[in-house]
Amino acid sequence: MIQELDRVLRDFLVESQENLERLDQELVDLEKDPNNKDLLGDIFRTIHTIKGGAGFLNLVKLEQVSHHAEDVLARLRERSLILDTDMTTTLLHAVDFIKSTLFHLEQHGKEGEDDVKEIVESLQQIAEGSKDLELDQKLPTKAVTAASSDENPENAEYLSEEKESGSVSQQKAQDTSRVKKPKQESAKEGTTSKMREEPESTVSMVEDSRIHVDVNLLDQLMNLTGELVLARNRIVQLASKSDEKDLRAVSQRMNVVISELQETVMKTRMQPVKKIFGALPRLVRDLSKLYGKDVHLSMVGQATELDRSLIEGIKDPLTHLVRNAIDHGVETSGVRRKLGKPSTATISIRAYHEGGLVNIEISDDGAGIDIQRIKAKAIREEILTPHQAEEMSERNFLNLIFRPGFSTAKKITNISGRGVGMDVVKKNLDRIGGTVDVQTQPNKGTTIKIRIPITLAIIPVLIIRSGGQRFAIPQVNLEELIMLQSADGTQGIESVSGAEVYRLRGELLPLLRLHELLQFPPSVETAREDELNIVVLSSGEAQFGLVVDDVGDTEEIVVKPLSSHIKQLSYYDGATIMGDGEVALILNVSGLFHSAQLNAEDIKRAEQKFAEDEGEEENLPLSVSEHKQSIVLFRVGEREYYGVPLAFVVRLEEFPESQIEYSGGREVLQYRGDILPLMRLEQYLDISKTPDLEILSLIVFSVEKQIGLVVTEIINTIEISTHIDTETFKQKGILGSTVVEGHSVLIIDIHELIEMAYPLWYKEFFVSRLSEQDRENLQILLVEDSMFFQNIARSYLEVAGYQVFTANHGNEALEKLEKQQFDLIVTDIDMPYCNGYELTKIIKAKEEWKHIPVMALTALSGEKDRQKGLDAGIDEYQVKLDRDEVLKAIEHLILQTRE
Amino acid sequence: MEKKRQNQTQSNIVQFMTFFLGKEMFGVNTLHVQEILVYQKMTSVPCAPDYVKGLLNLRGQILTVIDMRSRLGMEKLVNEAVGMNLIITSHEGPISLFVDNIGNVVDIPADRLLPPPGTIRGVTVKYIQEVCQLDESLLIVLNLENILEVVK
Repeated sequence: MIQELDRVLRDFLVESQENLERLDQELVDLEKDPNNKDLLGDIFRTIHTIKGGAGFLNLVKLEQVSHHAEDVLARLRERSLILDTDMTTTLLHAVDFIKSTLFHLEQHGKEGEDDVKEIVESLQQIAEGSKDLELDQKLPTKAVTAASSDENPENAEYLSEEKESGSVSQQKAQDTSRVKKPKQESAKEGTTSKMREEPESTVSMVEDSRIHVDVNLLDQLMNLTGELVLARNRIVQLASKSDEKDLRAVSQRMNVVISELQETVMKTRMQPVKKIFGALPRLVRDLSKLYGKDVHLSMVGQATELDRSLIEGIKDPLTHLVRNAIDHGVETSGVRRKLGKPSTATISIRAYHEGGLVNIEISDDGAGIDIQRIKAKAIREEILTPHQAEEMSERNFLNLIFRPGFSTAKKITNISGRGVGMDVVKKNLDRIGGTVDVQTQPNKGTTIKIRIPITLAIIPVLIIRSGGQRFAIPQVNLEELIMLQSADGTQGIESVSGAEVYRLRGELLPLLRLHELLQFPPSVETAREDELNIVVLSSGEAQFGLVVDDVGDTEEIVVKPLSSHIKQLSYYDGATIMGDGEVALILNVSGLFHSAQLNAEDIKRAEQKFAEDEGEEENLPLSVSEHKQSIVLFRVGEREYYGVPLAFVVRLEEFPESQIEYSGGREVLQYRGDILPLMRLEQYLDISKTPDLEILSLIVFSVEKQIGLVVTEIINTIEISTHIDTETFKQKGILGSTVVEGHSVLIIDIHELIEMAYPLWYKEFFVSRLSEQDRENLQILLVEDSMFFQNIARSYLEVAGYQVFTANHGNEALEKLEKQQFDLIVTDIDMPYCNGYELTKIIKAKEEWKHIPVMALTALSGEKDRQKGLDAGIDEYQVKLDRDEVLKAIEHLILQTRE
Repeated sequence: MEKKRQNQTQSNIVQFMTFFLGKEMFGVNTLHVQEILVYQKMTSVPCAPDYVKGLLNLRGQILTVIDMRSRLGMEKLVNEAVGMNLIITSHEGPISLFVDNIGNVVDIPADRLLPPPGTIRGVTVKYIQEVCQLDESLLIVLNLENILEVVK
């Protein structure tokens, strides 16, 4: 009997907690929309169910509080009371009390000692306060009550169903059934709360499609699946070497099934982020009241799912970031009005999946982070020298806020600004393999982006080699891959006082050699002498290049724990078993960086010295990075090599040929819950027939919408000179040719190819604030000396519908300007015969030209160049290969001139 | 008190799994032994303490291999491919002790186990729990807890 009762109690606890999670949010929503009957009905039922359960289990305090809360809610439902802030607060307190009592019950099996008197009294006061109102307006109110109670429950049900089916619905699908049952009941029973002592059985009925499973069981299931995945990897590897066709077919089938199994098992552990988002409306409400700020919270992607172990891990960081946004981010209504902003500030939180990771963005439209203040503080605290501060990129400045003890809050408040906080956020995220990044714009707001793996158990990694051993690097830390080729493998590497750096798009990237870091003896085999593989990694606080011997594939691996003998080293996060049964260590990027901190200090010093040495050669970083571009090198057919600028590539994938489907006569692929249109080069370029393969490679681009290019093999990402030959292979869809590792490589023009493959692509998907007609009539002058960039930019501008004229340098541009009218000038900065600054100065100085907006395209976005450009009169700065931003900026500039 | 202990120990037989490092014979309580494995390819762990020989894949579980020679301050084995893995259970899960060779299971009456007499042939007393003089050689019973202690 006792056991039976225990079980009833446990069920009651589980169910009540699930309901209570919603309650905070619902009450806050109700405060904003006091006439929402659905919401009110929902809240009422939740409290009512708790009351029923508490009565049954003889939990006196719980019953008392829920009874009185129910009374208040009943009055609200009858409309004899209108919800106000005080009432909401009291109701929230009641909910808090219920929560803490339930918690106590769970821990100790009985109710706590907390006094219910105060809360009951305040609830009673509210309920009684309504009586006067009821007496005063007795007749009309009664009439309304009667009418609404007869008809509205049905109405309410109808409405709520509609709401639930909408995509913006805040309610989880799984709540639907539970919510609906009691509703039907209320439709039947109708009028007052007193009548609604419904039997408990209706509630348990709706539970049928769900069961409670022990988490340990799920964990075990997960581990076993992990083993299966490893065994699968081995079999697939063995089968691929075998000549037996049947074996290959079976292993292929097994491959697919196990992948699905893995995914399904992973799903059982998944929980929507709503679980933590649910607490935020309440937090925002309380804090904004406390600080006298008017804040609207918008949350998108609450259904985004995460492994349960990670849900807990991001709870604190997220809460902290939201607190921060309210305290430091947004201004008070008064200040906002003065600045011409809407008086209500908005904090928006967006969660979404991307590339096997979950992204959570917390944005506010407040004051932004004052970079100058960070700069000043960094210099004052001697974290940076003034010279370094000048050279540093915005991103690196912002990352300083994650340093322990670094707070720029002017005054310390009790919510935030104590100098502990951002570093704790970072540390917590580190622990679960996450990263954090900040973007800010003065007076426009701050966006903080958190990236975390979907699960900790199985993660995507890049396999690399060093010292003859394989290592795995979590994809979450991976930024890009660079391969440098030269006779001695040191081209592009600069070394000052022992520290190695590489100039990546004009910024100094500290280099760490894994070989040295892991103290492999010099005798151990190393990489080829003529090439250098750099894996660009980000540990959140810093970006650095890890020099490895060889770069392998990306793989999904099962993370296995290490014993404490090895865990004490900060270098490793765990280990995994590779397809061939060997063990590979998983590198901890943050740990590697910290262990090399001394090294990094050297680099800082080197950086400083370097900058001083350079002095006048200001244009150096510009030209270095301008003359190099990373491309994805791939093969189509037997021997034909192609490349496409990495900047346009969203993702690289592999998939079995059998997964290709057809839609409207076109090849498509089911991809991340969407239909991905496919295209192949062989249909548009003259390519010898490609062999049939079981596994194909896919390069995914995002041009308004995602599209996949099917290729035979993706070889590598390499850096090439942008001095490409644009004459020899002149044809539609090709930018030019170059030579890599002895192979002739054609660089494809992806924007033109998409138009060739799908002539209606841009008509259908290109969203512009300018009409098609508008764009056709607009004449853009593109000034660029590098044919590589000129061809790319012309191509994407043309397919976007603009008329494009080109000039190879400033002087040629001026000649063209004399002869013809242009609506916009898009120019490179670093050019022979009159560079971008000079060109702009001339244009802006001339009366008939000065209205023409000038946009500069650069390969990098440095603070200093920007200033110089602004001084010269450049209206807008964009990065060359960032097509979307360039197009957006063009529209903006055109619309601006029209005003 | 004295009597009681005698009574207890007389009936108590302790089983040890013996192994060799060079000529020395060591033993661990069989209760801690999970299994014995011939030499396996291992993945070395760069920067790990000297006594960590590497990582081993035991049916999908990753085990740390402790080089017992290194741990006890002896010279490393020249031809390591003749070594054996003695896999024992610890609070962190199984862990492998890498030894020269595995001996037998010996039954020893508990009262014949003696406290270690200071340093024995270079082996630190910390790692020794008890010793027992057998017919031809001395059995050194290891203190597993200290053997498995993490050293930086």
